[in-house]
Amino acid sequence: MQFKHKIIATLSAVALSVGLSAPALAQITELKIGNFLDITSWDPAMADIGFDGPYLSAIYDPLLTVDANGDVQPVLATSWEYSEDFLTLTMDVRTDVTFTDGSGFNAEVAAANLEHLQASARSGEAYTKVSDISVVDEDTITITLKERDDTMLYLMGLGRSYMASAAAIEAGTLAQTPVGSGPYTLDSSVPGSEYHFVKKTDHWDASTYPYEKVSIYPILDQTARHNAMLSGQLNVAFADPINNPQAEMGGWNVTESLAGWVGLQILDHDGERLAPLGDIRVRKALNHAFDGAAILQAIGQGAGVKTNQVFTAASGVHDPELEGQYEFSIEKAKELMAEAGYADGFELSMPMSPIFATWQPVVQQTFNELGITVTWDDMQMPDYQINAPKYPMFIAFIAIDSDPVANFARQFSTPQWYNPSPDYVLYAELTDMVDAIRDADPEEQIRLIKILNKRLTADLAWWVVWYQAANTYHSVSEISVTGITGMMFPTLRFIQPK
Amino acid sequence: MTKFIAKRLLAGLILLAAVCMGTFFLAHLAISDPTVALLGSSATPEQQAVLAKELGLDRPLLVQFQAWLSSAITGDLGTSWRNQQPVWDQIVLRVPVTLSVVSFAILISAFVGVVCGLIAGLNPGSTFDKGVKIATVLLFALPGFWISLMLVIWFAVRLRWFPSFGYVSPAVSFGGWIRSITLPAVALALGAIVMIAEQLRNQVIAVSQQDFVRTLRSRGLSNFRVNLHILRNASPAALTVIAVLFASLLSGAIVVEAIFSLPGLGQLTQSAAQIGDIPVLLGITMVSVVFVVIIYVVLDIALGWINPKVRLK
Amino acid sequence: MSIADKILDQKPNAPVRTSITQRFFQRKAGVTAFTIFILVVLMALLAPWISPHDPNFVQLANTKAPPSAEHWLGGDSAGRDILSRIIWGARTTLFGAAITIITALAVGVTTGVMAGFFGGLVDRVFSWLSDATQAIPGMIILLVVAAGTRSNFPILMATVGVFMAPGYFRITRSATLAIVNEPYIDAAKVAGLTAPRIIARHVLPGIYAPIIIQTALAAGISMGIQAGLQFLGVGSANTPSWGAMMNEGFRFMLTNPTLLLWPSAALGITIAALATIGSTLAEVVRVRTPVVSETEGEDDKDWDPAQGTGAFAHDKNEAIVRLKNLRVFYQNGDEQKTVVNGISFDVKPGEVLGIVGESGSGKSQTIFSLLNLLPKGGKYVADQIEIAGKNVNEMTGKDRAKILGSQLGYIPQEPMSNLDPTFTIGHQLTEPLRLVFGQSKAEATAKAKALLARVGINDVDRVMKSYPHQISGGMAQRVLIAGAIAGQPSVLLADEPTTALDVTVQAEVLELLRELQQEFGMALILVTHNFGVVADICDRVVVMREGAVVEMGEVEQIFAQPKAQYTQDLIDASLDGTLSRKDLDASETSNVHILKTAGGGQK
Repeated sequence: MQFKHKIIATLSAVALSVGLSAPALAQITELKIGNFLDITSWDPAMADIGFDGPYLSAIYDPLLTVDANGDVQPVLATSWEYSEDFLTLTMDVRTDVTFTDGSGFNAEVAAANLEHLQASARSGEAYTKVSDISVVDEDTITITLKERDDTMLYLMGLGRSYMASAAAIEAGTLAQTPVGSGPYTLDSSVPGSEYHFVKKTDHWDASTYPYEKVSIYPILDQTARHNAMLSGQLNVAFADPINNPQAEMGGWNVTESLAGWVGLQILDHDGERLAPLGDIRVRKALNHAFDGAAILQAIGQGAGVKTNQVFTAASGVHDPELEGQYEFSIEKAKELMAEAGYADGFELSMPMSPIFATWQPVVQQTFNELGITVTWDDMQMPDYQINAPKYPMFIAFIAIDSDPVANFARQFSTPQWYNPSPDYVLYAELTDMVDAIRDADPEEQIRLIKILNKRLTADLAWWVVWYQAANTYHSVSEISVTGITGMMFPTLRFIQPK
Repeated sequence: MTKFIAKRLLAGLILLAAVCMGTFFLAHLAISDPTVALLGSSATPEQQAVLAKELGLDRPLLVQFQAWLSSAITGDLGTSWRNQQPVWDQIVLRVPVTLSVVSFAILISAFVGVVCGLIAGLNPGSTFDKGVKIATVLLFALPGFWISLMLVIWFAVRLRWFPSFGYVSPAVSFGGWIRSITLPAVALALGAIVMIAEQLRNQVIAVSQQDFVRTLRSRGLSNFRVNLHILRNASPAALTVIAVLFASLLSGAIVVEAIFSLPGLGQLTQSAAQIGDIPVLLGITMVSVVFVVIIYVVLDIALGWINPKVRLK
Repeated sequence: MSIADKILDQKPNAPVRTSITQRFFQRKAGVTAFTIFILVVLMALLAPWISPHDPNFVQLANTKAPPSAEHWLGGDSAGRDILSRIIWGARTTLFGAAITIITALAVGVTTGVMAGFFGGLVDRVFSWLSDATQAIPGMIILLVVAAGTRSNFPILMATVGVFMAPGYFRITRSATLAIVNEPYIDAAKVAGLTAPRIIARHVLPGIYAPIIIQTALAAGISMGIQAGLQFLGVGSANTPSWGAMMNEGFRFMLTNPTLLLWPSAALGITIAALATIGSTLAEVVRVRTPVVSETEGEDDKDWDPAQGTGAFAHDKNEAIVRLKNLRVFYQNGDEQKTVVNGISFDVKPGEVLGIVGESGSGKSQTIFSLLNLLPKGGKYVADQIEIAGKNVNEMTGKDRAKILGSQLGYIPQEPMSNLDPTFTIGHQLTEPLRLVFGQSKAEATAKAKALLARVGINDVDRVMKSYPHQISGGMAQRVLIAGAIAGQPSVLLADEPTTALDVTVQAEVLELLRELQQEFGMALILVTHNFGVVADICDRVVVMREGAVVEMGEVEQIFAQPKAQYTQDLIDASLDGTLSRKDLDASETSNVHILKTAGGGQK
């Protein structure tokens, strides 16, 4: 037990030193960010939205951004307007902005960028409905759509509209040497480990970016990130809620923002690959069988919201009335299983990777109680992303969006790695609803998605949602971070002096 | 002597070629279809085929190896499949980090290990000897990553003497460089110290019992001078351990670099292995083996210098 | 083998196997470590019966719970019983280690035996492969294999085994080589035994001890690597394992340190036990460190002076060395072995005193006592030792060391092993001159050359630059004689100075000794087993047996009228010219080649 005492003594010493040293710094001029992942690519067309935000937003200005509510806000695009049929988008852009290679930004460059973004498999996800991009004049472009698209502006705002120098796009050298108009330039870097940026003196929106220097360190290991915060090498970090008590002791700011839902993703609603999953009673049984609140507390460290829906809690679509739908009850679950003819359970295989291992025991356990025998296939994370959808059901942590329409589309109707071929098309009723949502005007859309949510959650048990998990960010007392649902790590504009 | 070195270098080259070939085929065997990992699951088979062609994966394995080898000989290690950056550039960027940490670790472990081993070996059964033995067992028993994390907690987080992660280039700040590599190097060195100390201790005991040591003493030489003779005779064993340790420290660096978030070869290896970036993996293996071969040649020269009898072999 | 070994290993016929096991269990560390390891193995084997809970049973209420009556070590981050997971984790850990060891054994021992047994091309190919494997940073390959096999645990641990095979290869190869060179293997080959049978019957039993040592260490290393891989996120998280538990523990290190403590302790203790088993065994088998007792061995107090043998022959003022009731004993653990039991003699300047006796009679120990250079574990007590009129018994260690070289010169038995192989002859001759007698480098070199010329070496310059392995045994002995007389000592102590030499050289060396002794007026104490040598140059002789003086007197008198039958036997043996068995024993450390020539020549 002496060991424990020592650790506790260390702990209090750590807390003390953090508490004492933090106020000593009058003003922070360098932002030192501990990110989770390295940048995917410096070419915005090849980058990810997830953790690339801080890197890309240093180098590039986007056309649009989203705010904390998920609403789209202007950046390089100053205003935009849809035609009445929602098939033409007219956008005004700035012309007072220059890239680091000296070239200027205008409508023509914007169009070249959008075409570049549309052409890529990655960034193209935002522009799937775009049929034409044309330059009207020096500061105006129009985007013509094949069909109405209510998620495009939101996705552009999340991180799909970073503008790069047209010459660099032409040369195809963006991935090696990024050329943007953003608030910072890349001073030095060790790819995969550290990136140091210095502020441009003449950025058009300099006041949004108060820090003279920004350093971003991708650190996979959360303990290492936390230690780096404790040792003062970082002042903002992607954090593990386990360490929240310590953060508060040290006077840090703890920011939480909902990031994704945790539970079982089902890809085989008609039971083609695994017959039991085709039975609604089995899916309901699975919903009853898990104690989501307890899992959130015990495994999720309480960082998140207990819910049984995939729509962001407290958003317009999320329906509090559905929350009582599946009270935790193994007996109820067993009853439903018996009704469905699976009193003795069934067998299935599920993929497993280290990231999901934390939920593995509870799934194993619950399945045992229901008589379900599960065989785990171990794999590493990239492998998991590729192979998990080949299984009828798998443990998932799936990102959610603050924009209801985007949330609906990405959870349900559009192909994603976790849902490569949406199987709602097998059901006429659902197909009709999806079509209706697409054609409705914005307010009606919300109402219809709400109805769909109720149908999917309460009647069809489409998913097995345990809870929605929050991403946690720690920052020293002088820095505040605003979490954005939809971004795993917020862009630099959301990291401001407190 | 020149002939001796030339022979060693030639053997090293053959070793290098063999290891590269082995790694090449093993990697291709283990990582069946890298295009899947590179493109993501949403990619169509057509896209995969295009990429496979771009990367030259559609050719027979032997042809691929030949192509790799012929460009590798000219110093061109190809480009990474993941980010299209030249492999050589990535490695050059990271070699200083790993080499700094590993060399510093070797330096620490050689110095401390030799001192401890010598004292323990000259006084077998003494309290110091027993202490070294207990330390040996303890350090052997605790995995490197455990020790690393404890070092971070105490010396970086609590005492703030050293940074908890990251690497500072000596070109930027020499002091910063030393500070940034100290904890990782110590973490690596602890295990190595005990191995060197134990080897040297046993060897010193063995040498001390040799007849010539008594004869040296009978000439009236001081303890210090006699111990120098003992050390010189015992050092081949310690030097061999140090050389062998170099290869294993390169391995150990992978774990340590993960813990200290050091942008070294280890980190590159880990990320490349995860997505099956074979050109990068091959490049790293090649560079590592080159280092190991150099160390072995240096060892052979050193052994030859210490004990001229070895040169005859 | 060193002298200490010879003395400690007086029972060459004792069965080695039992003595190793016995010696292992005599050590407290060995017993403790072995017990712990057996307990861990039992824990792993009996896991289904002794584990209090299902290791995978989740009780969310038990998440990170402190120890309780139901959960002795509390619950982990998923609410599973930590104790049960530790118990089952032993299984995973040992299973992984077992795969590694079996692979390493299969690959390393097979190739090692083949390389050692067949030699030639087989040896070269396997040795090269072994070196190549060692040059590869194994972790890179492990990560590739992990990525390619979806972290298949058995395959990964087997890969670790391949990287550990070189360790086994080296041990097995050298052990096999040593055995294969034994004459009885040739005999077995001639007798028509097949290679597999020879290997099974003669080779394998000879290599088991080093292999067990290596296995204990390799198992520990493999467990460490296993945990390291799990730390890097490689490996299955489904089965309880200590490495995965530690990894989880690190996440909660600052808030719930016990989550890290228990698996670390389990892994640490297990590896420590293995390491201790390995090092204790190694100590017992390989490095025979004499265990020196901490307390000064004063068990000599009840020594009865009546047991003393020998006497003084000269007046107190005449003698240059006076030794009274010398006792020498060796302490090994609790055992004390007396090798010289109270002998007395003296010698005067210009006199040559022979000490004659069979191997183990204590004659060499007497010389070492005079020099105060007994091997570790050895200790002497004497009622009186006077050298050049000084009572060295009362001297401090430092003063005692000062008379070496200047008052006492020492000529050892085996020329080759008494020169430091790593320095040139020149260096070894000039070093004492410079450091002990304070000469300049030039003076020392000139003196060394003069000495070499004096002891009959012709091409002095070449010899000065040569390393010991580049000169002949006879020349080496001359070099050693030159070294012994460099400080112009008043007493020369020669320990079988000719035994290891070619017979034609023997006479020359003896002649040289005689000349030098007369030229410098030194006293010469010459230890030998050969009365022929005594007859050649000695004035007086002391005959020793089993640590006691059998008889002593003038050479002519002893030859003419030996009082003891033992003396007569020794004289007879020398006159025969045949080397007795015991003589062979005495020379067993000497170079086989030289010994054979010497023996053959004498016939």
